[in-house]
Amino acid sequence: MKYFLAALIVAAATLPAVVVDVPVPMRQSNWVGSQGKGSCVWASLVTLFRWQNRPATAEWIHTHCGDGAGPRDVEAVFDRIGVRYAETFDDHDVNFLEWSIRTHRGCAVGVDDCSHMVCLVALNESYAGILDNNSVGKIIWIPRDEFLADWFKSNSWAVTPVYTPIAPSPE
Amino acid sequence: MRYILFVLLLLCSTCYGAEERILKLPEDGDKWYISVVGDAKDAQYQSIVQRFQEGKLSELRKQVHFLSVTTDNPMYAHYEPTLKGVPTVRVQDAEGHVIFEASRQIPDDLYNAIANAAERRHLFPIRPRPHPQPTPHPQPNPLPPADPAPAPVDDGGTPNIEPSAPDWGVGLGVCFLLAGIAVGVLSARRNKS
Repeated sequence: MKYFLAALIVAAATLPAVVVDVPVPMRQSNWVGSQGKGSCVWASLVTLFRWQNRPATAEWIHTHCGDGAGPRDVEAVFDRIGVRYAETFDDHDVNFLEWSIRTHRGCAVGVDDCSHMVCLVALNESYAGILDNNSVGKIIWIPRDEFLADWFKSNSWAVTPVYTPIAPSPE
Repeated sequence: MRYILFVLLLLCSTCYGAEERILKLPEDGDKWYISVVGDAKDAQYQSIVQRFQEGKLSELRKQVHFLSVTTDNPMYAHYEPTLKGVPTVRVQDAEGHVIFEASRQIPDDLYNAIANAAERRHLFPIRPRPHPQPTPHPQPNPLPPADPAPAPVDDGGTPNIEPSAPDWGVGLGVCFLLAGIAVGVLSARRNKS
């Protein structure tokens, strides 16, 4: 029991701060699109647009987009409605993930062999914090190496809007 | 006719897709935050937002993450638990420490109130630094309609606020006090002699 508690304390001490601290009601849950498929890509992006204070864009995507999507689908929509965004694909660019956390924006990342997309909301040398649109009530903590291996297998796709992130909660 | 079509196409291209994928990622993680939170229909809130469009507050706005959050914005839920009322002006550093906050009673000289609060915490260099040259605002897009024009992205950290002018009123008061004491001492000596 002592060892379990000690391990728990050590693990808690090494968890990174959640920099994309989206209130639970504002975390967009996955929805079924008109073709009967999940909309995890769009749900992740809706959450990020809300976090970056673009509520109208978030609601527009929620209303007009759905079903599965890849980088080209997202780029087409973003280019059409005029969204400022940053993206990486197939480059194993961990710097991109670290930049998104360093600047408090977060990003949507492909996981599970690119069959799913979630929001990366925290990252340090030990752990990654994931906000999964299939279970928005809690942050999922994954060892960094495990997360990165999964992300690499998912074409290392990450994308985020580039606007003004909401201010941190007061210290 | 072809020219008219060309001009129309050009106009459309400037309206749609005005923003795009960015390749140089902005290193703005150390920027401060200024949040103005309030009811969109409230005249005081509108006036505060307007004040950030002019003069020194406008310069400050360009150096920070500026957020105007109305009570009907979904992200109001993020602010609500920590607000003392609306409208609120809150200045925070990149880690979230509150440098300045005013609710309901917003000082008329808001810039100096912020600068004084920052000075009290010894956060700003006394020597002024060169002002940044911000890039122009991108044009707003027709779709979606309601989001405000985004701030330009740039690298940036702690803002540069010039220290506020010395408070002459306090200085004069101190002078009068010292003069009064001197007169009092002198007259007391004369009375003794």
